[in-house]
Amino acid sequence: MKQIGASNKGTKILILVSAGLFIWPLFFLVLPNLSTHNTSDFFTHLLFERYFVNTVLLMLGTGIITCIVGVTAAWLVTVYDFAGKKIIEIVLMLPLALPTYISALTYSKLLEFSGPIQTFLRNTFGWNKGDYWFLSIQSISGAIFITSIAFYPYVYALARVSFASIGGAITVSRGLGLSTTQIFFKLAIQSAKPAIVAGLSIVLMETLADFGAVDQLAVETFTVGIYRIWYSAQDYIGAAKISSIILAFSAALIMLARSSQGKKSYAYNYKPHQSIAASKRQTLAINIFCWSVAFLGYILPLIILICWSQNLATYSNKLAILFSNTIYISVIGACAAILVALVFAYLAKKQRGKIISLILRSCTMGYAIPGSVIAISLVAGLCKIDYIFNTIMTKTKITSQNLALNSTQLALIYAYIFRFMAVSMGSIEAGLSKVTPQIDWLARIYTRNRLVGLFAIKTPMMTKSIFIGFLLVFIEIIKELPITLIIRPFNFETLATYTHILIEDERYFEASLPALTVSSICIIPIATIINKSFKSNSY
Amino acid sequence: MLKSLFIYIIIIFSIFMLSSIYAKQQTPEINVYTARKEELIRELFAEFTKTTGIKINFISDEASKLIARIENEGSATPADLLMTSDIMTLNLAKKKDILAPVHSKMLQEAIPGYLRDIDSEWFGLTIRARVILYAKDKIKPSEISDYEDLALPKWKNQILIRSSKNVYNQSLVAYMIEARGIEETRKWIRGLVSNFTRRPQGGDTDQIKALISGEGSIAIANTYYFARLIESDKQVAEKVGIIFPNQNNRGTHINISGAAVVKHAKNPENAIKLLEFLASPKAQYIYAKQNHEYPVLSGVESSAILKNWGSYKADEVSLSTIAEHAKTAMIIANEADWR
Repeated sequence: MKQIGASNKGTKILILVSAGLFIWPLFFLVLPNLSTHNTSDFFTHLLFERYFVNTVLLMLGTGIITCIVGVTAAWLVTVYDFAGKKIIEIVLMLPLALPTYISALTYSKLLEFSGPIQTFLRNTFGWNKGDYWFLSIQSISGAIFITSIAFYPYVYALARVSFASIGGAITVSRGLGLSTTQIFFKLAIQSAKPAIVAGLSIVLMETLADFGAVDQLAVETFTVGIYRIWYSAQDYIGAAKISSIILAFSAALIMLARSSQGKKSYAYNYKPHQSIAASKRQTLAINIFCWSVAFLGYILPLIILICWSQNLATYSNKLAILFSNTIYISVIGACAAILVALVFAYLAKKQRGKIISLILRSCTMGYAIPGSVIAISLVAGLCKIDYIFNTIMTKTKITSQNLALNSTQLALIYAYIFRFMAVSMGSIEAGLSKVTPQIDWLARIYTRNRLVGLFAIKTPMMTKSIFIGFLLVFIEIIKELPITLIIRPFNFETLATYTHILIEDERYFEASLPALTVSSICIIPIATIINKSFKSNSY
Repeated sequence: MLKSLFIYIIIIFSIFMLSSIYAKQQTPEINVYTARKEELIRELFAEFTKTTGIKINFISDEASKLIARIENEGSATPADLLMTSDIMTLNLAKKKDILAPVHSKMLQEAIPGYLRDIDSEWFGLTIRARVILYAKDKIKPSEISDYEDLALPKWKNQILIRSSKNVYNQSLVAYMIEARGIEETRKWIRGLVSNFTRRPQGGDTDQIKALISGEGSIAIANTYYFARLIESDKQVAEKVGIIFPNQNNRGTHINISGAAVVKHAKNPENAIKLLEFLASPKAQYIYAKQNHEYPVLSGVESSAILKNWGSYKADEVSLSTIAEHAKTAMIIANEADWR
């Protein structure tokens, strides 16, 4: 896209400052690396190889499975018309509503030796320990399974939108006599590649940052390593070393996503595709495939939670407060995240300077960093800001009131903006890509100021992207755990933190209720997203 | 449109700023960082507020995270009192120099010397023993008497225990180091690990449940987890037996939950008040009744389930000394591949 008018120095500085606001936690992470003070290399040396191998295996396995499942489901739902399609479209997205730490917990309780399935088998067949083989979820393959069924919707959703957008081309190809398989490999996969890669990079970032599931499943990845080194061994330098590796992984993923978007040169035509009516056998096969994926990813864990909640004698009256706290912080957090992303995405697009654009994009790396690590570096930073501000205030005698950013709702929201920048920026950028150069010129003609142009002309054009971005961040914040846990103000609990506290205390039955609430609140925004985004002929 | 949008944003953010500034104290209050779960402390705090009128604000999280947080907050920390559930984290907090010594005659008298810090920086409030549990249908209690026995080859594929990442296991290893020295402990861990029936996973309750279902015949857990399980299901006591190890020599390894006043506390007097309250007979009784922990204050009754187990001999080596082995404990457990 052509740059209209050179950006002046003022804007550049503004950009750098605002980006700096969200990048400094990264520096805090990497900085201790430079220290020559070497406390305990023990953990980094002894366990590094294990962490590395496990992380790579987990990402590889999850990447492959989410791609296969996500793309297949998206293709089937796009191309065929079959009984139950409407509901399947929604059901396939539901795993997004379930935090991975909860699905990992329910699966390990279901499949463990003392769990219902193995107990049933032993009682029925009179087996004892060692008499039979049973799959173990507490393993790297178990972890791959959990992250795959949790994250495939990202690939599915993006592939689905992309397939829908070439609907017209699919119809034409069929008219030309190509089989569905041929269309899939020759046309659909090729044109949906950027979308699939974008989805994949989200999946991999989520996997890289995941702590709850891998910890539950006893798989030692980098995240678990950071946690152990940082908190248990209190070795910040060792933790910084591992953080830097995660950052490198994350940068590679962002580059991957960017490079695929660069090749987006094919023409879109938003003619809806005329779906093929599926035969009875096909309908059955598609239904079985989609339902079993959704069953594993959402329905089964939910059933387990419901069963647990049946064991509760009393219901906590705390639920209402937890619910309103969660909704409140998530709505405000999502709004703030979208506003910031709107400005950043726009500036990133407008900047000719590669470096500035790179800096803005590196703000999105927060998505791949374990939340607990982000949180601690934010706490340190915010306390410094508080300290500096208060010193100035007391010296200049403007006010005697102390500023305390640390552990306020503001700090929490700030952390969310940083953590989920990849999500919010992603949706906004997708929306911005529909703003053509012509519209850009018009905006420039009618409005003098670039930001005015952004908010007055372009923003309304992308309401849908903004809305979807908002909902995505909203869901993420509802499920978010480690940051909320560390930064939340006094006496402030959300559904996620309360679930976690009860689980930590090994009170699974009590935990089922807030967990159920988390996974059901998210259904509404997910259904809305599907409704908004999968209509092939609107944008 | 633009203008109104910006005004809107500014209003939202100023409300936040104001609310964060106005979150300052009007009534007497105290801020607690607690690693003890809300379920356990709610009644205690309510009782304290009722008698003193001091409001308690708290956040709960893992102890090591709270300590990292206090350390990072430096002099700006809002924390007055830190409550944790084990000796390792209390000692860590002391080493990080984030605690203040408390000279209270009441605390000195209520809490035995080996259950508080030499420099009076932290105080034990409840005791829990790390005991050996066994499946009654498979093992006779006479077969095991010491922790050392767990490393014997005859228990191959029998033992259930959680990860060495857990502080209770770290302090158990530290206790072994204190008693037997590093080399002996190394050997002991190697034997123990080779007897594991599965990769360490879950919490203490999970080990007991696995024991009941027959996945192993010996489990290691803290007393209150076992008591809590018995409380929810009486049959547990019929299937699982308890052994207090090392009764004929140094005594069973115990751990404490405790509290400490933070160095940069803004309400230190109130924090000390709360600390003293927690060591008072009333609070000690709530602790014992609610969570089946052994009170530190003599004369306070234990819960019925605990009384049923009878009295035991606890290792009385100062917990400060044991906590000194924290790092070594972690390293040798990892060396032996105790996950």
